[in-house]
Amino acid sequence: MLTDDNLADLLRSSFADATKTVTPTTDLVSTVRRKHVAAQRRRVAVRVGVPAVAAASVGVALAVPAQHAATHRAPQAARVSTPLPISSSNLAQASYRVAFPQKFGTVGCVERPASGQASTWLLEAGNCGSGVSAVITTDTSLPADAKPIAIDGLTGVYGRTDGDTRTVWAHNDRGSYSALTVNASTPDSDIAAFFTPAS
Amino acid sequence: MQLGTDFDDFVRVASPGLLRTAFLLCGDRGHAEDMVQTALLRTARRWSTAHAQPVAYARRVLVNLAKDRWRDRARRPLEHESAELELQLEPEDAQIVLRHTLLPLLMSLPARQRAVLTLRYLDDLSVEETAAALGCSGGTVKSQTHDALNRLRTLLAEDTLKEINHADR
Repeated sequence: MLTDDNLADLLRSSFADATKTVTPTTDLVSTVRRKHVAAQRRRVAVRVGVPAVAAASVGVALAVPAQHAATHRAPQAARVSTPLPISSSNLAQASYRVAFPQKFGTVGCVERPASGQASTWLLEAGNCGSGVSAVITTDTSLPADAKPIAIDGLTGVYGRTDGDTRTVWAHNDRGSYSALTVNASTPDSDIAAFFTPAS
Repeated sequence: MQLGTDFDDFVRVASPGLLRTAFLLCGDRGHAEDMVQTALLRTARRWSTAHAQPVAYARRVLVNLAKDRWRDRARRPLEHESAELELQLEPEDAQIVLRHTLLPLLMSLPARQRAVLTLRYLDDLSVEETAAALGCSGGTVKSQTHDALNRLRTLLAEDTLKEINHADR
């Protein structure tokens, strides 16, 4: 009668015999890497196509002063669009909705700047006059002196710095441009957080 | 997360062992390679979590894939799984004959028991490591090992009896 130890030894040698010729037939490193990259592209493509519902306070945005903004990170929905996949969807111009990232707080004060267009809003987190403010324009045109800029996570955006403010324009789904004016020292990652890919 | 050279090193070192485990779990070389690729891809996707213990992570994924396959196969008509395992062994002496007999019998064990024996006696995992890979308690691993060895012993005895009867005819 075989004891448990005998049987275990037999199993070990049986397993060793049965698997001695079992080795990977393909170069798994390159195969897995290739499939991983392809899967990442598919996931990004799906996410870019889905508007971020959580950031859908349409038409409002908030810029955070540099000392406050430095403590915040861009929300995931804005960052995942970084490596745009090569597909027919991004052959067309990328469109964005300017939206207030909820993680920065709740907009408590919305005003129209005296000199602004009808679609321009001055926003502040918390109470009016608290010092945390930003200006967005939801329907405007691209000025001739705006230059294409590279902000991680955004494609086809333009920018211009005027003194201590910086304005970023992005094409929107209405066929015009949306603009966000923030403190010039606001990090790119915080700026990117305001832009959500439009469906 | 970008994959670095540490992932490549992990794949090179761990894939032969994972493939052998997968082969014994499913009994089919082609399926085993598919399962290993899928396990490695899922490990790559969660590399930030998995890189602390990548082999354990990949093995857990592999076992889960095997479970999915067992469930799927349980709904289908029975196929002869052990054909490939049998073909790999050429009996030369009594010990090898016994080993030859053992593997087909292993494939006839319930999936969970087969997994426990594979992880414990092919991968030489401890009870705790086996429990982690299977997502069960150490006590369950011990009882499954005990039941599996008893079952194998019974099957071996029945098999030997059949051969004696066959030889007597």
